[in-house]
Amino acid sequence: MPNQRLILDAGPFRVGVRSSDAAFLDTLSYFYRDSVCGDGPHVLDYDIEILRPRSLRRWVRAQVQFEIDGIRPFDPHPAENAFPMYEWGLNWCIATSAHRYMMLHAGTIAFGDLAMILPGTPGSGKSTLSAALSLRGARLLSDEFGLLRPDSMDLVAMPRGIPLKNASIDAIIEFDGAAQLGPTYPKTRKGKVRHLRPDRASLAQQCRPAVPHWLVFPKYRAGEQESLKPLDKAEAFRQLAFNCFNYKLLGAGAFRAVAQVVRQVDCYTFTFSNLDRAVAQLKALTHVPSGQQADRK
Amino acid sequence: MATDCLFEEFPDDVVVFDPSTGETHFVTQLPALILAELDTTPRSVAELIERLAGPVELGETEEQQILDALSRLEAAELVESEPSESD
Repeated sequence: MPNQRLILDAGPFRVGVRSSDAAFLDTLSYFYRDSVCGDGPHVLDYDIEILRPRSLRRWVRAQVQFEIDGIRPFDPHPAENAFPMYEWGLNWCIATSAHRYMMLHAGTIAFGDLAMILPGTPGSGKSTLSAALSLRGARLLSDEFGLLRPDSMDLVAMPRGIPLKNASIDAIIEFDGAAQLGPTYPKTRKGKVRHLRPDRASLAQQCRPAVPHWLVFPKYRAGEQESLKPLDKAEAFRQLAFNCFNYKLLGAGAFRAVAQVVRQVDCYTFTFSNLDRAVAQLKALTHVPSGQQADRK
Repeated sequence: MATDCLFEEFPDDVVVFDPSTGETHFVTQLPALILAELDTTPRSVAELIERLAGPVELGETEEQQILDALSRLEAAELVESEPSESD
């Protein structure tokens, strides 16, 4: 099949994607057909190609490679994993270049124009929580990147497929049997992965920023009762800075921005094990008048 | 004291950003008080202890706590020793 090209909007980024891999392009269209730009000249932030190597691996135990601006920054992946490779590759492109934003390793969800930031390391449950909240009507800004504009202190939206891993796949299916999920990739470097399609409402509003209003540090703990506790602001500063990809690079600007976020929002830790209860508790939080922090068990 | 440090004060802690190193430090009240005392004027250890004590006479334990906090700030390069005129 000859190379085809799609131009997509991923939040503030315009991405060109070229490939001759029909399965990959079909999956890409399934997830992002509402974000595809029409024909015409475009200025691209990232010009990506997903291609097969010019070796035996083109056909034998076929592989694909991620190429950005003529550079191949990663090892090849099995051809059947083209879509997750593209998603992780685009994350890498953004994380290594988009330093006009302060980039938080966080899920970000909006209720109207007020945003809840869910920072966390892998395994904290931030992506699964972001997925569950979006399935219950919250606007998905991102499951992975909190992109904060330091000048305006708002978060830009970049709703993308949410990569659910291993046990969280079944957790989301149990939570919402109608959730629109893409193909299953059983053997990625992060285990079994399946992506939740971003909802159309979130994609339609990806030009609409949101103002940080809640900062919640999630921690998944199997079998534990949900517990939402106010967090000391100095500790919130420490943890938010730790979860900022480019904190050191941005220096004083990041210091001031983290301080401002922590000062202007309500800060919590949140332990959870059950998505229904977790979503109910976080949504209830968004209905509590600002300043009335509650110890919820 | 490291010049041009940025400070954010919270009820029990002060967060300090040192632009010269790019490091962020979390200091409790005593180190924060020491930094405030040394913000614009170098002081001897004796002067520092006297100013922090105010009208209260400090015991050995309290003085040692000040010295320990000063050592930690020096290790973090937020303060530095200068030779005294008598050296």
